[in-house]
Amino acid sequence: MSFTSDLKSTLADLPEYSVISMRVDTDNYFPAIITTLDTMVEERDFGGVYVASTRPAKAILHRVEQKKITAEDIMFVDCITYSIGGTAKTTENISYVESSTMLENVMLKTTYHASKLEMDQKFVIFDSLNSLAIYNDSKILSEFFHIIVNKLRTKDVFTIVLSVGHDAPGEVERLLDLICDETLDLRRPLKEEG
Amino acid sequence: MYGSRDQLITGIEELDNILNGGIPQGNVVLLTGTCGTGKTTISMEFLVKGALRGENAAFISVTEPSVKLLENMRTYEFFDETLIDESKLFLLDLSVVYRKMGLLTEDHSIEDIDSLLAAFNNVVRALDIKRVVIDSITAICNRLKEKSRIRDFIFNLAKSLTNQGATTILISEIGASASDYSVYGVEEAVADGIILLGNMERRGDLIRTMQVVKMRGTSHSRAKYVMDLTPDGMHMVPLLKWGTEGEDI
Repeated sequence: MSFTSDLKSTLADLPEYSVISMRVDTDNYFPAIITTLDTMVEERDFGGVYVASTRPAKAILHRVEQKKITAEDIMFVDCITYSIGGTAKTTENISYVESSTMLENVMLKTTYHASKLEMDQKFVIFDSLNSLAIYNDSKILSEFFHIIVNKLRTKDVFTIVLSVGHDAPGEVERLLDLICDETLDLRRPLKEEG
Repeated sequence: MYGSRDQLITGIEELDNILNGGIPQGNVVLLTGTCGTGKTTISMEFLVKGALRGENAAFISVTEPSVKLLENMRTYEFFDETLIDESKLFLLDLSVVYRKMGLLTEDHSIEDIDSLLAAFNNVVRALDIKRVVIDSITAICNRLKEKSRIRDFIFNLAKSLTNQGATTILISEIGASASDYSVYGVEEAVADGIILLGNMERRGDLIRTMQVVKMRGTSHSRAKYVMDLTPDGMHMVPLLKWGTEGEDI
């Protein structure tokens, strides 16, 4: 079984309103997000909000379109384009938050766009814990995830918090272990040195 | 313990939750903040949501022509212009009222103030207004000059609007460095409620905030919230506790 087929079958079997902490290796970053979007949108007929703080939404959207995933069913909340001085005009698919430090605005935009989705079944993906941790310390990030994950849970939204590699803050990952229904740790074991 | 005062649902979901059901009916609320904090938008949403519930609403514009206000409001999905055609929402220019009343000087006498109060009363009674916004009370006070006149005017205005069953928002403009809730320090003493809008700087980013400082007649949250102006109106979430070390400006 390959990484993508493993992930696909795991996601396909998860209950409708799951809250997942997903951990992948860096080289599986794109396969993980594309497989997740493909499974949720094309196979499970969900509509979703994709919170992009690792790479600009346009870059993710480009990959999505390349893979022929129905982009109309995904709303992007882009937290990075403003920070890099890019053009940030709201489009049909992309809404912008000025900075990854404005976590409350990320919350507001995420819940707002999730509520506007026409589909009955909805998902939210946070991509990623690592990139949000560049701009925010562990205390405020833990508080952010504690509130947003529980808020989305009350609205029956399938939620995925992605972390990549082994560098995400352990304090936040431990909190996610506590508040998520499941931790999907798809990373290869770290090799012992020496 | 609070009694059973009727509360007016503002229609802004999070604000109604913060206020435990809405603004107590008949209250005069000071909506105060620096420029660009969303005072006009939040108060217009309050009026529109009321008008949609069958409560006639009036926006009395002192600082900008209602035509310009209308243009700005058309960008919001919550703004339903048919309410104006149906005579449920009224946009009134105070400059027109001033002209009709012959109040052309920058300094109002006591007689002028009485005439102005009578004009407000007539409008509210004649149009059966239940929600009033005056944007801004600061601009009116600028013409009253003396603190005693300002106090009398606001006190009498609040009393008469409340007696007519209207719930009122007085918009107050304050400077970025202000430590009070109003320019003259009188408005906040007379008001039943104070809602403070602000900008908070966090690591160089400006965050819009809202806090209900006081609201007579209901138990309410006094926490600080972060606001976002979306096409369908105002949305709020609590300010993250670990992110409160920013500077209010």
